[in-house]
Amino acid sequence: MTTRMEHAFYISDPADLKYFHNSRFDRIYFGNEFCEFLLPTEEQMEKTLEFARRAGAGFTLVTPPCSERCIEKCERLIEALPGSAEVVFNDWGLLQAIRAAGKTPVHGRLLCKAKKDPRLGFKGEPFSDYFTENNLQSEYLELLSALGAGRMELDNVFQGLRLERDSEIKYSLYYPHVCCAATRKCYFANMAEGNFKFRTIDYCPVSCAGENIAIHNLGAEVFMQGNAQYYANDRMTVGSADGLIDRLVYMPVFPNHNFTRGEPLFLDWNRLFEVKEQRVLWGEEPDETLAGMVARAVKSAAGGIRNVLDIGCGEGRHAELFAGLDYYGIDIASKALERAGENKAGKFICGDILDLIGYDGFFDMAVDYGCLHSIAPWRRREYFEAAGRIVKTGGVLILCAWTGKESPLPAFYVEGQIPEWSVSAGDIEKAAEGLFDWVEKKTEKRTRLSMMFAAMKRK
Amino acid sequence: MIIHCPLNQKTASMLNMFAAAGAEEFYLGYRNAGISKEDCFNRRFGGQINFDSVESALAVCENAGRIGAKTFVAINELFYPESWHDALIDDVKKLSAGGVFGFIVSDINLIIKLKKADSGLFIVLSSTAHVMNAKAAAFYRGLGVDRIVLPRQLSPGEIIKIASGSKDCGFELIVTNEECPYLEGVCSYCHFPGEESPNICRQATLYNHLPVGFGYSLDSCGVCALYSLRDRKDFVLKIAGRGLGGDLILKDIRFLKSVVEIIDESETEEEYGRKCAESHKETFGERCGRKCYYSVGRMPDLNVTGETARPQMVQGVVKWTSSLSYDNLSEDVSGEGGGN
Repeated sequence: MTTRMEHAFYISDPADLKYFHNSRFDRIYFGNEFCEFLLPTEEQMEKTLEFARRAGAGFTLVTPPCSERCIEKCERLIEALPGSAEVVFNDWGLLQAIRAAGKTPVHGRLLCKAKKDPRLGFKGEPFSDYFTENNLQSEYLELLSALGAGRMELDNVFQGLRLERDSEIKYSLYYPHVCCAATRKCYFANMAEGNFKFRTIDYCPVSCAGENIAIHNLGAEVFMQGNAQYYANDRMTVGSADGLIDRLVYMPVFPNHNFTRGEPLFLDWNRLFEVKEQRVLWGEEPDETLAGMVARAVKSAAGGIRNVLDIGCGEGRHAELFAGLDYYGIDIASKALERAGENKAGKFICGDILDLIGYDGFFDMAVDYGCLHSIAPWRRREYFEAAGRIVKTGGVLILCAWTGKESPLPAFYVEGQIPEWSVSAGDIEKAAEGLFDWVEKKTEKRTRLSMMFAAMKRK
Repeated sequence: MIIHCPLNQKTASMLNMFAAAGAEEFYLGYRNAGISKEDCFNRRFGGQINFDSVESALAVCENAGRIGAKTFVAINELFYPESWHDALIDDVKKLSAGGVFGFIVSDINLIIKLKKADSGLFIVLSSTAHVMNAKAAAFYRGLGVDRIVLPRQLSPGEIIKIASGSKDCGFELIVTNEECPYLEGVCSYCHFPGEESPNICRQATLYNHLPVGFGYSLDSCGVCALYSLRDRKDFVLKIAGRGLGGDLILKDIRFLKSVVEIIDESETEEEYGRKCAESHKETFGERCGRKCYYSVGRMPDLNVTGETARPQMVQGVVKWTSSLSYDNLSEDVSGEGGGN
């Protein structure tokens, strides 16, 4: 008799329900395994539960290793669950609460102690059977059964896992993301707080904002999102041949973010534009070097320049440089655009340059004064692809960005919250490869950092 | 508070000096080539960190016993192949019969089997078991654990709650040396000995891009938190760093001995902090680098002059925009694996 494979869908943010397909998934996993600050609110859980009910899917709440405060949070969520729900525990301290509430406990994958190192996936590299061993052994499984936990969650590690056959325990396999490590001494939260010495986090500005930072590529590309490191394995390397796994848990994205908690999770550019001192610091008059570059570009453009897009235009500081041209500005901060609309001539678009649609091949020139360095290094290619879409062939892109040594670390944080990365000529050349050619570049010392001014031509 | 001190092959000859300086308990690791050629019997390996056999470990423990010190043996890898268990239990029986007081363990399978083999064995739960709350401590206490090494990611308030919830259980706090931001129980990387970069979780990550002395560091410390825990005289203070040299361990013991005295004589936390800082400078020849275990939230002294201090990288030397200067921070060093 073959066991029917159950398919589950696992997210940490209700916004990711957009990846759900009724016909494909039997169950929704929801919650957070790594970070107590990204646990869902009761309201979020209720909405996701309602979604699961309508989809006819089962529901599993996922919980992280718990501080005392987190235990209380989790207990409130568990109390609010329907009786049929499962709860994944990654902390032995929560098991009692799950059982007391009459819910079904599921042993989380962080409690499965196995090596989850991507180097064990090197093709052709011999590694001993030792690395397929883990703590899911007879004594352990007996204990779990006695405690009412009949299911164990597994990471789809490259090297495979030796699983105990003589047991009633059922296994779920998470794919494609394998968690290598997590911590309470979160990189993002410490950086946002200016703590280069890594302290335990008791308050979180959620400065991770769900970004994935590529941190190394040994065995596989490993990323950090929030307080956890992970890699992706798109082959089923654990248990597929053994018939021991009866549930596959799919993660459309690594589940360690929660944008829709209703708290200020996004980088808040609007708030910054309300700080007068910050605006003064950025400057209110047009930058003279930029003015010179724009004038030269307009003069030398073969087909003439009729329109321009000011990327990250803010309050329209540079609008007057483009008098006589059809001036468009785009910025993510609606507050800044309100002021721009009141004081400057032009058309203003509120949005993210990376998502701009409807302007393909539309602009003769695009100018970016201080936007590129606000985009994380791992998204720079996306930026140039976006710029390449909107700038006509032969059109001009002028960039002004903080420059310095290449580093995935931000050069500094505006108002202690918004990261800005320095950009090197090498970074630009790599990210713009095949899309733009250099026309002109120069560097000027500004405060403790230098600013690079570059003009590029669309291929 | 009792000082709990590491021993390795290089420092075993200094046992008497360590004891004279104030260490009352010792812990060590061993390997057993009869079970496996691989050096993965506990969370520390490489070099002369582990003793080469049960017998050589036992000889050191007997030496410690002669001067009235308790000894503990670490068998604290996160798991062991089930096929090793019987041989490991035999080793434990030999060590226990030879006078070893306790065994530092993380794997639940092994805890259960050891207790079945001898319910009187004294089991210390390794920090890698990642006990973060009182209910988790109670769970492990239920398995027969006698003492718990608490993770360095806890705050003093959390430590008090955990300890208050398991009154019949002992607790150890790691108070000197080594800290990786991913330390303790939720790191699943291998720490391959002999590699140029054994700990890729930190060395090949963003932490490499931090100024020298930040991120991972050898000279981390949990001493400041002890003032909040001064009523818990039963806490054991653990010196981490089984691979460290004897001179540094000796300084750690002297420093901790002075700290225990300072706790008793200090009337305020400020007085305690000042005296500990003086003792640190006197013992180690440099001021504390403020790389703290059991620390929560913002760094305490960033705003010394009232301005926002931010470190700036200038050719690897950290300059602060406030009046602080940490020019003399020690170099970041490699370690082999987390947990002690």
